[in-house]
Parts: sequence; C-alpha cells; structure tokens
Amino acid sequence: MDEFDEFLDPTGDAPIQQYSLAQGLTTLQGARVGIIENNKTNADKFLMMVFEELRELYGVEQVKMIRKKELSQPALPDQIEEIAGWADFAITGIGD
Amino acid sequence: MPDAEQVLRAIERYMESGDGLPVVPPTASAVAAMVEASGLPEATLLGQIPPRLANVTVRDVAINAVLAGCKPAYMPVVVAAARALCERRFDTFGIACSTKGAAPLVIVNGPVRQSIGINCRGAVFGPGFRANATIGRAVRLLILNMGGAKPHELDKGTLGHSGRFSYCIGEDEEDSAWTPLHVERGLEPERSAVTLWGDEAPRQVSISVDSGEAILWAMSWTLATVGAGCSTDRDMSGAPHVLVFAKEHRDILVRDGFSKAKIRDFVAENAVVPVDYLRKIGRETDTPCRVVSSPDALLVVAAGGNAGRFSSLLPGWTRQSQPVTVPID
Repeated sequence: MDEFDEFLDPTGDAPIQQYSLAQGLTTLQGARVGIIENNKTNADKFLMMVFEELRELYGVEQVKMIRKKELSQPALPDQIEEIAGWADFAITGIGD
Repeated sequence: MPDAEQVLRAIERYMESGDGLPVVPPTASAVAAMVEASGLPEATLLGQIPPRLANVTVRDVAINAVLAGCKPAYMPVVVAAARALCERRFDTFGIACSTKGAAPLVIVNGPVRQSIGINCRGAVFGPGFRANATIGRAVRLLILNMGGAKPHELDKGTLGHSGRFSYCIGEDEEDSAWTPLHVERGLEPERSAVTLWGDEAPRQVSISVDSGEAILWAMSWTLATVGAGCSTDRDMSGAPHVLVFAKEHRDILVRDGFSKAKIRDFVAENAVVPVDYLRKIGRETDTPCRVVSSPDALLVVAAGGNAGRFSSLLPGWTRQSQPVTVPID
C-alpha cells in the first residue's frame, strides 16, 4: 500500500483519453488540405500562406478552411467532421 | 491516521503539483466533513471543467477545498464557484489557458459573507482573511488539478496574474447605498451568491478630488488606455469590465447622485481612446475607440476600506468570457 493512499487524489478520476499519431501521407502531390483557423486576426492570412507554400513546394492542390466560432474554444464537432471527411490532411495554427 | 512525517511528505508532494504553496493534505475524514457541509451527495456532478473537460463532482471540489485550507462552512461558496467554472459563458478555456493570463475573481454577495467572514472592506484584495484566501485558492486548485491547466503546459500565460494564487472579495452591502451585485443580476437580497469573473490584473484609480464626476473621468480614462481595454478592437469589443469603488469614492459618488446605473452610463460614454492616440500606435483611423460596448458590460462593486480615495478597475479578458452568477444553496 502506498503511504499516500491515506490522502485523496485532487485530480479526479476522469479517464485519460489516449491518442496516437495518424499515419503520415506518402505524398502530398494532389492532396487536399483542410485548415482550421482560430478566429484571431491574421490567422486566415497566415494559414493561406502556408497553403501556398505547400502547393508550390509539394503539389498540394485543394484547400478548405474553416474558422472556429470562438477563438478560445475547441472547433465544433461538425466543423471537425467536415474537415476530416473532405481533407487528406489538416493543419491548424493561430494568428494575432 | 497518517503520522506527522507522512503528512509532511504529503505536503511536499502536493506542493509540486498544485500552486507551489503548502497545502492541507486531504484525508478521508477532512474531505467527508467538507462534503457534508455542502449538503449534497458526494457524487453530485457539477459540470465539466476546461481545459481537460473533467467531470467535477462535489467530492472533487471537497478534496481541493481541503487542500486550499477551507473550513467546511466555506464549501457551499466553493461549490457555487465550481458550477460557474463549468459554465460555457465563463469560458474557463480562455481564462485559464490564454496567453493574456486572466484570473478568476470570486465576488461573494449575501448573508454568507458575514456568516463565514468574507472580507469586504480594508485590504479587500490582499491577504489576511482565511475565507477570501482559501476560497479563491480552491477555485484555482480546481483549475489546476481538475482542469489540468498547468503553467508551461496548457496554461500559456505570458505574464500570468498574481490573482492566480487566490482572488476572492465580498461586496460591502452593509455600508453601501447601492443595489448589491447579486440583486442587480436577478436574485433576492436575502440570498447569497457567487459571481465569477475573469480579468486582467487590477489597476488602482487614485484621485483625491471631491467630485463624483471627476472620479468617473479618472475611471474612464484608466479604462481607455491602449494597453488595457483597447488592446485589440476586435477581441475587446463587448468585453465586460468591473469597477470596484472603495468607501470614500462611494460616498462622493452617492452624494453627487451616481447610482450604479448612472456610473455605468457615464463610463461607457467616456471610456474612449482618442484618434491621435490610436494613430501613434499605428492605426490609420478617424474613429475613436469606444472601449465599452454597452453600459450593461460594466459591473459596479462596492468594496474596500473607508480611508483613502482609491478605487480599482478590473479590465475584462475578452468578450468571450462573461460574468456568471450562481446562487449559493
């Protein structure tokens, strides 16, 4: 028995959700990229520049960008589903 | 029953994972007393606390209240604050994790202030009062331990906020001619309530002029600084702000006919950053920046000592976090 068993855990008993990395794409040629921008100033401009770089350097072809409803909140589930269902890969980032 | 050495080792362990200060080790009996004082079953679900979105039960709140040093009598206040933390409108994601580094201020109204000894008067933002110190700390420990917002991890605060150790005040209802905050927000005067509010660090407003209007000009100009309320127009548009007036300023304002509603109207009208200031910080504009979107975005609170012509401005974090008032059952 751990001596700290006498004391209770202040972090709760919520299960820790485990994630693993998605398998990487073998090529970006012709790929569709989803962009999640965080609704801060210039985030859309910056992330579109990233897309332009990806197109020029790696042949990415199409882009779909969604804007988070609130910058400090996670993207809405239907937004994530929209990107996940359409894109070959997604990027996100912040502006300010 | 743990022995003294065990207790010291437990304190050491929790100091590393909490707010960096010594804690009261949460024994089963101490937590049970805290749960009992809440009047609720220990498994009662209060909500999900960001950023980890962990389910928070009365038992979880009790454990953190013990750690913080609360007396069991404080538990209903901490439970009400925990409910507010889980409200979407409060946006604990932003308050706890944003680079801007806001802190949750617990404002307590109603009879519970006197029954548990919440300080509403001199040194109201300072140390020395167990109820204020430990209730505010319990709220922060919930964010750290349950929410998982650890500094350098999910808490991305650039500068942080000293209120992130503890930040709890009461409104001085007994020595104020104004309508108490919880009554303005729809509750009966005899009820007790917590209003949770997230803000930047307070700015003291020091003005020794015997004029209510002069005090409100000073408050308005303090709010209308490019580094405070008008840091970015888009994010701050609609942000709430809290104005705390201490006794001497309150007396002058009341004498000069300023109710809370009139104070809100005045400051909302006059907290404006002039065009030439905006141009000096690189904004090509012909429109002054109106910092307060509506008088309703201002909360006015009576608190602080009876000597000294000082008040305090608590600029809001952004429009995304709104004050949340929860009755204390």
